Amino acid sequence: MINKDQNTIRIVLENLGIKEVNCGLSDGLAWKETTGEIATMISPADGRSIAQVQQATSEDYENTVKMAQEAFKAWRMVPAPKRGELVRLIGNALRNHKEDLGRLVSYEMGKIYQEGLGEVQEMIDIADFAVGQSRQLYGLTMHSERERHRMYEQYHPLGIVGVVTSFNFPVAVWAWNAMLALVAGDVVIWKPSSKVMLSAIAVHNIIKKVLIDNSIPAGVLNLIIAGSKEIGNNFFADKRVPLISFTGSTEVGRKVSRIVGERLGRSLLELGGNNAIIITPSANIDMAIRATVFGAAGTAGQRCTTTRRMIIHVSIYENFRNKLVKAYSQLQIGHPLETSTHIGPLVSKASVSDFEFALRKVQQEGGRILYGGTKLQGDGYESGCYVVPCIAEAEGHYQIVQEETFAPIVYLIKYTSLDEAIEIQNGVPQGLSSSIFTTSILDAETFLSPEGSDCGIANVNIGTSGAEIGGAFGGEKDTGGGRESGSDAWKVYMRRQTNTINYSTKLPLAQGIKFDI
Amino acid sequence: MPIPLLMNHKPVHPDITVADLVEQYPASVGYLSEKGIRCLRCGEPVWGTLAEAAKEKGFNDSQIRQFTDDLNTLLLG
Repeated sequence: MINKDQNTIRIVLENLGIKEVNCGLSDGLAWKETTGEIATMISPADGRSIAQVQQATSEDYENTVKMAQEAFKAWRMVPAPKRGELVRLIGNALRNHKEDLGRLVSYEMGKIYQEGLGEVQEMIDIADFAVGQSRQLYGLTMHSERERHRMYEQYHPLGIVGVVTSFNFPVAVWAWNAMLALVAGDVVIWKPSSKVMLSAIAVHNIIKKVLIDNSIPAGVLNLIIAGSKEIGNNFFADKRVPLISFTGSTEVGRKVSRIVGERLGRSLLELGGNNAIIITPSANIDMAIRATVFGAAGTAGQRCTTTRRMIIHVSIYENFRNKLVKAYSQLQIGHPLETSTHIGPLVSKASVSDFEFALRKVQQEGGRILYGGTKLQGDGYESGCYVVPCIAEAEGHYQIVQEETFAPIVYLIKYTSLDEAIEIQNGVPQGLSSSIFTTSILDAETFLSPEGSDCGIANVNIGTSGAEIGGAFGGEKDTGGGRESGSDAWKVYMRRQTNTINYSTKLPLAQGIKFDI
Repeated sequence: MPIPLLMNHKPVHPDITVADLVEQYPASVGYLSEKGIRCLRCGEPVWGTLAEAAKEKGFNDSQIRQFTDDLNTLLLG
């Protein structure tokens, strides 16, 4: 039985090593004294203070980078399968703390407990994936055009990987990056969102024992908590950090891309989405309704892959709309640790203001609110962060529909032909996730073809959110083009080296060039 | 309706970070969005100061001062 009362939360914090005031700087083995500003973490669930964090400074950042550089010298020489063994042990430690960490994620960020558990499970899944990957950091061999020559390529560790994560996945996105970076032989500096510092601290408390027990040097996994004033552009501009993995908004992502690009570093960008589901006349409507409700209202609309637009064939529009409104009316909105809750709070009051702005805007542009869209007040909603998820009728070209509002608003848009539906689907700046519900193989294959969805993720009869870790995750256009997690995403954490070995006693030049001396 | 100014909260000025602004005064999000300055993206405050965010949208110093005056009137009543 999940209990939302303060005693349960106190026990969870104790189990995870969260104190009243926590240090915001770790080299993996020890917490370091810092002198930065103290931040108080407030739960959007009930508006209560959870704990405080003493943040790091730009001087701390310098020391952290120096330590990470030293750690890299040792870590890169540990055989990859042995690095994988460390990741396996981290995965096991996460298994042992899954419920507590899931609760803290839920309480600090506002997603429901089931989603908090799911997030920790993603960490475990990527750890398992990375363990296998540690024995599969394959390069190709090539046949040389020269006699008694051998060519092959190998992947070497890259160095320090800077990981900047967002509030909506307080711990999983770090794991997607860090587990692969570890097996690749890299070291990690993690800057978490300022809204969910405690979840990051809890993760580092969990892994600390694993690192110490296995004699891992300080500086392999680092956590540095600070605002963008202290650690922002300086982090991106730092040539000592060859890869910056940034998850967040397109606006900040552009800045990251520009700054990292100027120094010809690598950036892995996971930015905004404006994800749509196309509902064709042949779709299984009941399945589509369930996928829409979870995709659009789940996590209170605060996933990058949240369903924000429904593109519905005109012949089934009314039926679908009515069923969707009915389904929304059954959603339970409340404390995220309550088992009956479907929808928790938004992460902040500012997000509620953003939600309200978007609803004013869509109505100004000619749209119509069909359901929800109100802020909840009274018992259980004292934090001021709870809203009723909204369904609105709109047109694809509205400015507000073109933008990503990180809140539970889904826009219903009609279409008459599949070509038109795909044009609407692709007609936004973002290109993360997309879906079609259909039983027509022609429609499904068209959607997946080069003239179909332009997104990094395109699904059939599955919603836009809830990706598995085995596939490469990311999107095109304003979503940034990065890919992380599964498939061959590991390659971005390594540098490729082509080697040619001459085992003859002659020195033939490539392309048959003669250069006799 | 004026938004109550909380203790320890300072008046809005152009060099306030967007993060501090939206945390201290959530309602400023609505006002600035109406002006075309979206303070939140992906649920996170955009990085930098209010002045920087406004200049990225093409506003000049005089217009930014007007924004801060308006916000302080709104916040202080």
